Amino acid sequence: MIKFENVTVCYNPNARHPDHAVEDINLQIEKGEWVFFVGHSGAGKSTLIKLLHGSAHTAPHGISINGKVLLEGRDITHLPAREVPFLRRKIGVIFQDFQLLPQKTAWENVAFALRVIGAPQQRIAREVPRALETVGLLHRAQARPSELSGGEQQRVAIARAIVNEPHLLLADEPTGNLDPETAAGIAAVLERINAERGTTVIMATHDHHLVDTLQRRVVRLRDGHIISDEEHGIYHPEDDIKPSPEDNESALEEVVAIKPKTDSGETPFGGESLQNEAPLGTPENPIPQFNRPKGQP
Amino acid sequence: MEILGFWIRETSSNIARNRLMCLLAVSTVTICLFVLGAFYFAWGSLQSQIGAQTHKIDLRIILEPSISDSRRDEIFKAAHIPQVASVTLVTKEEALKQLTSDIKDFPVTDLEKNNPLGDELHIQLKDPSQIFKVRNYLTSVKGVQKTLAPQEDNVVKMLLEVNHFVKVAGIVALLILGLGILLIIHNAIRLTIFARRHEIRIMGLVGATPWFIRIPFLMEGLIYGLAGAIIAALLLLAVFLPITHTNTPLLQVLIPANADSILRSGLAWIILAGVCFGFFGSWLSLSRSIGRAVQA
Repeated sequence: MIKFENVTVCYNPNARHPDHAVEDINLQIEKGEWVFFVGHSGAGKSTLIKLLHGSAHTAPHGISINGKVLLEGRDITHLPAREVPFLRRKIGVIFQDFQLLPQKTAWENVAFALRVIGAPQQRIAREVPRALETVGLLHRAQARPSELSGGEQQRVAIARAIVNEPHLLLADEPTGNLDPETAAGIAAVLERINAERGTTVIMATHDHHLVDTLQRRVVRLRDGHIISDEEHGIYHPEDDIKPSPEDNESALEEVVAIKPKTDSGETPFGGESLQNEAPLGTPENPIPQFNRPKGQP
Repeated sequence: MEILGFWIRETSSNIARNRLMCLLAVSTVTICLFVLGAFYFAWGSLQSQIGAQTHKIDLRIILEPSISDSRRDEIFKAAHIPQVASVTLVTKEEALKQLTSDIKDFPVTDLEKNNPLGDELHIQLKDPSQIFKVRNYLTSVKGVQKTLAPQEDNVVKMLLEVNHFVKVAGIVALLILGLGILLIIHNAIRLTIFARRHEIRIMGLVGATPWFIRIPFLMEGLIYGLAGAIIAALLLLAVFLPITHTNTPLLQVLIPANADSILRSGLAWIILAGVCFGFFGSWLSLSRSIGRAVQA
């Protein structure tokens, strides 16, 4: 079981304007569950993944973490650096860019995860084919990443993540580089792992097709806060887009600019003068909303 | 055993993949260690020659002619201070015999009855630079007529100063050269780590401990240092061995009698230095780079 208790993460805490990545997160994920973290870029999805993987502490300008992150009852919030490798052996992780070693074959890439933790050869010989078979790539075991398609490379990455039989599988945008059909194939592989091995899967994604198809638990984040947590959720990416204060100000200026007052109190477009309108921002006269992603011109 | 096999495979595949880098590192270490070895040999020879001169500096203590045998024995014992390597007693009879053998026409008949010479103590020093201190001490001892040194004071002083300067300059130069080699290996390993940062990151992601990741790089540094040192040692042997056995008069003056042993000890030092530089050069690179790469 995974538990976030009042977790607040702040990057660059000593700066004049610290960056609060997540604030006051409370979340519980049961063993064997499948959870999507969705939200716009910077919403805090990857920070939660990093907290679970023990890689949040190395932010270049420092980090402050308040609250508690519990994994199987153990507090991993401030794990000493020497214990992080042993935590990671219980967790599989996959990324958008696969992170495979180009000079090694699919087999060697998967075996690498066992070799670096000092697993005996017999175990490597037993577990590697099993993992490759689970992802349907046993027949491509001797191919190098450059000889594999994007979907196949991601499958090798999944095989590497599960070869150590982790309790938890973290996936950070695993289908971000794949077409919808291939992404569906990856999702099917992950579903099988979740169902057959009972591995908890936590996936941060923007892929609404994937989320809508699987109808699993969806935790929606916005600006570091959980704004919804649905058991069988779907994902509307357009809900993530919200106007920034700058957008509102420019919208106000735009409204004023296109409605200059005439001497008669009318606008050139035949509308009523601003003097006769309800104040901007009230239900009678709302500020126009723009579906424009944050930060874009 | 499997872990050791993994490390050896990783190290060898790493060297094979970065052949140019490896060649560059080994050849740089070779050149630096060759220069270091050549300098050590030249410095060792010079120091040996100067040292041989300074060790010729010894003290002669002339005792008063009327001294009693018991007082003479007391002074003989008192001369055995920590700075002194050996004390030899030359009685006045032996001194006279020496004089007559040195000067054949010397009329000794009268002198044998009434010997004007005093007993002498010949003192060999452990450290020639202590000559003035020992001389002052022995001059103050009752029963000592005077002390004699084979050279003039200013000659002794100059010889000792040159010896000291060569020793210090040699140590400083060796340290500077050593530091240079350390930095070269440090840089070579840093470049290797940079080239393999992707692999190191993956090792970290799947739970390898920082020590597990470090060891192949330490082995690599060790191999660079050792290979460079062995090649440098062979080159030094090829260049300097003929010189130590030369018959050329000029070189015979410059090369000390113990040149062979200087060369042999130099080669042992070069191998040891190569191993140490390789190990510590890579250690320096790893302490920070690996941590950053693993946790990124």
